[in-house]
Amino acid sequence: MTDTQQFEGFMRNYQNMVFSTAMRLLANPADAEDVAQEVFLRAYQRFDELRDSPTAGGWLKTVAANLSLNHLSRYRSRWSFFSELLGRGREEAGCEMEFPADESATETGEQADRRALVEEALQKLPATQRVPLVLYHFEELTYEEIAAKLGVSLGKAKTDIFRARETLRRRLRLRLTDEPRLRPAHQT
Amino acid sequence: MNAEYEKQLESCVGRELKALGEWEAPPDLARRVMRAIERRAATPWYRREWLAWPMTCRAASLVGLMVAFGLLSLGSARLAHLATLTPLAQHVSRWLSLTDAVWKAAEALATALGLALRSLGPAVILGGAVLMVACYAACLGLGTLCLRLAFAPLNGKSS
Repeated sequence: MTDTQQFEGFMRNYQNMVFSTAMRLLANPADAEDVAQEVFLRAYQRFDELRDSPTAGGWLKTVAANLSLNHLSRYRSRWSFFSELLGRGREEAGCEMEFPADESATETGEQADRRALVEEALQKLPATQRVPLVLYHFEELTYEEIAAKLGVSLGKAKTDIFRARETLRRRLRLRLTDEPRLRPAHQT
Repeated sequence: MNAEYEKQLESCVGRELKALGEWEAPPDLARRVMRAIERRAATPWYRREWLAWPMTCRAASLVGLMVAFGLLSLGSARLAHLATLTPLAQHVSRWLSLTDAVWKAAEALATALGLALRSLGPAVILGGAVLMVACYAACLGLGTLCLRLAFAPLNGKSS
């Protein structure tokens, strides 16, 4: 088997993971595909090291997250004004989202519907809330690491993540145990 | 904020997110990457970025550049020394005096511009600046309006 064929196999093993990382951070399939392509081009340059490395997945995930964040910061300042408008417009129009494909054939329709709903709610969050939330729950970074990565204060990182969770809770109608007793006064 | 509530919210949302599967990568992603790799491989080394050049070529180009820089420095020092002695050097210095003329013209232009700005007065300059900002804001507003119109829902419904 040639190097290229081996790399193709390697890429097929990790492409969903890399694309998911980029997709959750960018919420845009075209941008996520561009980032995934760049990740694999970089991986190809280091394929000799990555081929048998047990940490290849982690490396790919980190590069995908970093490139996605670079992409966001490069375009955010230029286009935030318009993209915020577009984002609101999309939400107002109730636009159709693409949902992830079913993982297993045994999954019930109800579970798939639920996952699609959660994915849609996540994608509809504004970037300022979605990005730190994804970094916390999917990339498993700490609040401090997220604040440092995004160049914001620790307080802002925490607040944005809290707001993101609150929005998801409302949109998904999540119920917490002992909710009335626990919820802060301003939320009731 | 209630710490216990936050903790429960975190674990509840975390559970929902963890249950999500992976997105399926577009079917042509692998093909795109392989095409890009082939394109890169087909590019001759001298058309790639310098860091991607073969090590020997990088070393040779570095040495070559250093030699060229050294020769240029040495040559210009020699030329300055011989300028008054040889007719060739005098000829070269005459050509160099042309660049001096261009520099002087640019200097005169800058001085004239400075004088004009001073004679206009701060009110006119401020007015001009305000006008420029207003024009920029108008462009931005018009652009936003066009964008909103372009992406407005066709049926006019909003949730």
